Amino acid sequence: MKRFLIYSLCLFILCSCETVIDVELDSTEPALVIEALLQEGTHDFEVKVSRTQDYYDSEVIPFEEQTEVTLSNNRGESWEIPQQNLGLHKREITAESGLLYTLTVTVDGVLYQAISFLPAQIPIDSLTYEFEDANPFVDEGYQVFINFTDPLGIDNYYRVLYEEEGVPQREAEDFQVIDDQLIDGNQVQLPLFGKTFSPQTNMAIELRSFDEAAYSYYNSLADIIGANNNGGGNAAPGNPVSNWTGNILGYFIAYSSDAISETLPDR
Amino acid sequence: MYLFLLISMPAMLTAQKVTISGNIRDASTGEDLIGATILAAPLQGVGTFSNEYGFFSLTLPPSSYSIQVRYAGYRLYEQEVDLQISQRLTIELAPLESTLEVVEIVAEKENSNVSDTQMGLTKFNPKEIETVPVLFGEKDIIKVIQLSPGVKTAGEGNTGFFVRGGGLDQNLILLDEAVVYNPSHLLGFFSVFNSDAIKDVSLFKGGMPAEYGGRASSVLDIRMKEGNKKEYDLSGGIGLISSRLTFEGPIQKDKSSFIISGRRTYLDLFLGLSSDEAIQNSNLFFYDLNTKANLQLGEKDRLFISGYFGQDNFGFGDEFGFNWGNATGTLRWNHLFSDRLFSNTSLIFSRYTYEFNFGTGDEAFGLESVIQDFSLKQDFSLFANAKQKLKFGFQATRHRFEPGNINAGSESSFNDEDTEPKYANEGGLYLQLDQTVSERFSFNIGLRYSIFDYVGPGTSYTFNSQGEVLSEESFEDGESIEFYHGLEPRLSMKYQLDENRSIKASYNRNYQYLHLLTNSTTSTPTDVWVPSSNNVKPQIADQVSLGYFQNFMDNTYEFSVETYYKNLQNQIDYRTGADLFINNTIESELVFGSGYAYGLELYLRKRKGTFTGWVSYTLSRTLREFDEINNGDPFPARQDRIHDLSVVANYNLTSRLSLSANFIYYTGDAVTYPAGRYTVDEQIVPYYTERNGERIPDYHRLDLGVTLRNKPGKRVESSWNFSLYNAYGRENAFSIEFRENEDDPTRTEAVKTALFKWVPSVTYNFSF
Repeated sequence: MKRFLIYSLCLFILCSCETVIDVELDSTEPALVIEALLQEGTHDFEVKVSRTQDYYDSEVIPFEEQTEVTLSNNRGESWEIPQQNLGLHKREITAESGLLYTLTVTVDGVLYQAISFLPAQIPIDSLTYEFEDANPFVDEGYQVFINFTDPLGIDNYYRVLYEEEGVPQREAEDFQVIDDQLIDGNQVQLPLFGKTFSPQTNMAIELRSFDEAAYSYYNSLADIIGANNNGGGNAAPGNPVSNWTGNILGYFIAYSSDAISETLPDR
Repeated sequence: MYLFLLISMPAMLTAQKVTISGNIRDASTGEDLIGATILAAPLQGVGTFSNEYGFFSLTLPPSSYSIQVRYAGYRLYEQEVDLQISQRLTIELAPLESTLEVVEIVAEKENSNVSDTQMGLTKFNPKEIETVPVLFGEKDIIKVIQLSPGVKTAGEGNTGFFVRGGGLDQNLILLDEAVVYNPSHLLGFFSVFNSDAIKDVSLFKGGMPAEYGGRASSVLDIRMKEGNKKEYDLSGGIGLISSRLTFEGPIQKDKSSFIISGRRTYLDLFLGLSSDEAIQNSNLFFYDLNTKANLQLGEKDRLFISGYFGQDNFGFGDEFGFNWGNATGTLRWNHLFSDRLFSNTSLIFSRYTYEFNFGTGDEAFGLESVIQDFSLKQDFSLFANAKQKLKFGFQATRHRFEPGNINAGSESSFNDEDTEPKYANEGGLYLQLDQTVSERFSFNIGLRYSIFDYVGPGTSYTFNSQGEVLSEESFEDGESIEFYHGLEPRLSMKYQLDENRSIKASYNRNYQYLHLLTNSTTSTPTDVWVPSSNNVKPQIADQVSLGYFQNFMDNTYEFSVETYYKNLQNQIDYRTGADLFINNTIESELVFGSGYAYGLELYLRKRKGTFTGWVSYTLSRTLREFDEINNGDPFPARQDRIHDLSVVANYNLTSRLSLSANFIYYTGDAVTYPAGRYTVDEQIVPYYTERNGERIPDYHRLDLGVTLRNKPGKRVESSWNFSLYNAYGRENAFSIEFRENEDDPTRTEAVKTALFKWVPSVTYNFSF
């Protein structure tokens, strides 16, 4: 969609131009950001605490406040997550699907909490690919599809991430989050949208499943970073819909995932 | 008040008076003239206007009169009438050869802007604006309206518009009475209104007459030409983007006529020249087709059939297709119950669709969205006497909304499942009185009662404050899900200080039951119209305005200053990251608040002479207040442009050569800029605090045009029009994006996108 609109715009607006300009932005009180991803299985669990900085400030400002972090679930288990250094907590955790996890973070005596449900893994059935000739939307190359089966009657939320030759692709245009409203219970063949890949590229693809709150977060984040851009700009820029209490930024997301890796054939 | 009217009505009807009635037409084409002034000298301040069908009726004491008819761009018409018994006349006005003629021939006053009760009205006919330079040389009545006070464009080159701080969806856009839901082509750069087929355009910004209802901020009433009743005429134009062709003529001379007018872009024809098969198979065009026929059925009846069809088509081989378009149809029957009671009955159809297609065969996936209306409208005009005119009637509309019909091939990943269609019945009942109290004082008072019934079959949802579904309920066919109704009082008053000066005031309340949801800052084909429901309340606008009007130098100059204050209830905004596309519970993505707007509009226009044009300046604010946005504090709406200036000038160098120019300046749009940044998900993410707290740089631009006509008296009239849009190449910001620097991703920067820097164009127009 985005590419299409841009393409049609370009045809008509032969004289559109982009320039980097100076826009003065006011400084603002730094806001708290807490980011934590809990993966199903046994993995290192990291909690990052930071603050926002001025928009044009490219130096990373170290976080210098004391924090305490506790993870618990609805089976009554609880773990202290020890501080590695200021703003980073880390511990190996074994997370199970079907449980509700609660993360509690105390920053300077103020308590923040977020809850995330860890859904069952949705396995990837296969990767398939089709060779496409060059067209105004994409370059010549393989279009890659990820095939999986959406469970019928359950709300599922997905995110697709991929690596090309071992390099994670994290551009805004690679940000792909979907719900199953239109694909409930189907054999899904989901393309890596708007992209083609050269023959013999090694592709590693991951399919993550998480709850609705996580979907809302990713979906609004996608809007903000421009991944859902529809050509006319975003009507209502705001901060992503966080699941943290206390009106802060960031997220706590528990997810399960499956991954597959394959090398694309010769032409 | 109304009781008084009803009681006094029979008295008004039986007074000892006679009526002169009839139609006002163009002498060369037989086209009905809308809004011509009819005066009965020697009576002072006694007169009327021809209505939307060119009809007028004036009831006077028996005597001898000199009937004078005036209409901008036409010679004054005078006829002595010895009025002892009621008479019917068909009056034909001769058009002026050129605007140069005005001074010499119509020395009479043309002060309807001062003397008319209506305020907040902008009127144009396409002829008047022929020479105004526009983008790509595509004459566009909406782009000229955007140059008038109180009206703001939705963006560079865009045909969307905001009126007195209202939203894009708060304009009732009518083409021969049919609502046009998406009046734009090609992502908004061109409007669907082909100037060649249009006769008259009126924009009501305030004090709307009670006969109009359904939108909160304005009414844009566009009337199509009826066709030449005298002779066959073929006219057209060849432009940079599109070509136009119009054929019109009599069906029966002086009685009935037809018009067919088409326009099509032809950029796509060049695609066929490509050697690439996929590009050859691509589509990229839009077209418009306007047709109308009118038939005179005896003395008292006229029938009009009009239709509009327009579509945008984009396609790339078999891979991808995207089409959208409007279709409207109107069947109208004018009937004269007596020479004082005029009736019009209209059957109206309107449909807007958009459609996507991906892939072919078993893997195809398509999505279609439809909004469709059927309406019945009945209007009566009672010309009681020279001082009182009564209008009353009703309108009933059946709406059908299909937000997303999905067509999926058997091998496609998608379910062949549609979002639920929605249905609603809308009605309006109105009564309005035009009263001339004295030579100086007149008023127009009206009341509209509107109803809106959101009906089954369908499902209603309730949501909690986070937008999660709490409960749902199913409704049977025809069962009322939610019912709204409201009284909409309207009042306009005029007090004339002297012949050239008047003061006017007005108040109006408008209800709006349909709402446009749009994800982007400008209108796009995929915008969704939703009905009021248990979750979405009707938008309500109250507006008061006060104005001073004065003409100078024998009506050569018109001047006005109008101020307004508008209060808006039940305004709609979105949760961050709202998903408006194929969503059954779309209402959960909305938040509701209020708004207000106020402003001052100055307008100075020179209508006559070799040099014509206008200056319009608007000083205004428009703010919104939502609990969920900006911590509940009021914030500026995007279109809160504080200063807005338009200068339009036309200079007739000779009778064949004219030069024209526009200058536009306005305060930059209110936008939200990041207040900071942070990193999550390995991305640098902007941090926002205040909604619309910043401004993009101010906008300004100069356009130039030259029109060269061929020698008069030739069989074929023709003209060349050259224009240059954005003559000094100002890079106005279309958008400002904040993003990572491409070379150094740790650095972030602001990037301005500018469109349309120096766009030259040439158009050739002809008429046989």
